[in-house]
Amino acid sequence: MDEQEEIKPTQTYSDLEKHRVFDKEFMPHIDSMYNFAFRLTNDEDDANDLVQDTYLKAFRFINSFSQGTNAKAWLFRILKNSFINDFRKKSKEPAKVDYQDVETTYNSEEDAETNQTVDLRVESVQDLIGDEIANALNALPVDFRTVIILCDVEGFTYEEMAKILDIPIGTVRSRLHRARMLLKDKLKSYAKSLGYDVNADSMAD
Amino acid sequence: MVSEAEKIQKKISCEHKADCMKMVQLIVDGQASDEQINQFKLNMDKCLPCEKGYELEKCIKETMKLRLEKKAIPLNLIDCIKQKINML
Repeated sequence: MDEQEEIKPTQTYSDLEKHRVFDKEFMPHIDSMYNFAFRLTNDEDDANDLVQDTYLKAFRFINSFSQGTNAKAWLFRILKNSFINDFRKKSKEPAKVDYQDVETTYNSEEDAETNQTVDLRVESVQDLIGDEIANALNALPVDFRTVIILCDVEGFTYEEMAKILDIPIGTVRSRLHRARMLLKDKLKSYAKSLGYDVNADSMAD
Repeated sequence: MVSEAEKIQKKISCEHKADCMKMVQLIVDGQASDEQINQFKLNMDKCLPCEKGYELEKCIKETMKLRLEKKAIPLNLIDCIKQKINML
């Protein structure tokens, strides 16, 4: 479903109903929306603007939202599209490796599988503090960061993620797999730089 | 619970590692069927790399969920949105 479909009206709410649906169905997700926006943009002001744009868009096209359906996924989808269309170019996020470059690096499932990180220990992960976790996540290209946030932080199912991201479920699975391998590499680097013995008791291969 | 003595008997290498790690992902994400979960549990009891792989993925997922800082929304964000939609 692209943005055109997103804004296709499916019913007509009265003004009163619009505000009621907005307050009851959309506003409860504002914390998650702001945190998602912040993780995408890495900037509080941009996150603020992105959330405002998303909510205004959601209100403008509220007739395309059916009550009782998944409001959070609907809002996340609008936010993600707004980010791609309006914010990605002007984002203050430092230049990162393009998704295609990373796809090339992990060119096939086979390559990805052979590159799996095997020597990161549970104990090393448990010793990392929130900032180190955030830095490792932020170091990932935005498309990989996005699937980890949607799945691990927000708890969306693969099916919901497929709808939010406009990609097939199989792509959700493989992108998540690759994202986690990259994340483990970053976490391992942090653990190593902090002096943790990441290789001790390594997973036998 | 597998005893220490039994643990020693576990395989120390996994010939299906790539497939097993894909299954681990489905399990930690709650996307595996009951049958897949039961099958993997049986396998995990015999395979050290699979057990460690599962523990690591589960730990990372929990870490992302629980230890990533939750940013508080700016104080005026809700008011700002409400004001703007009232002007539409």
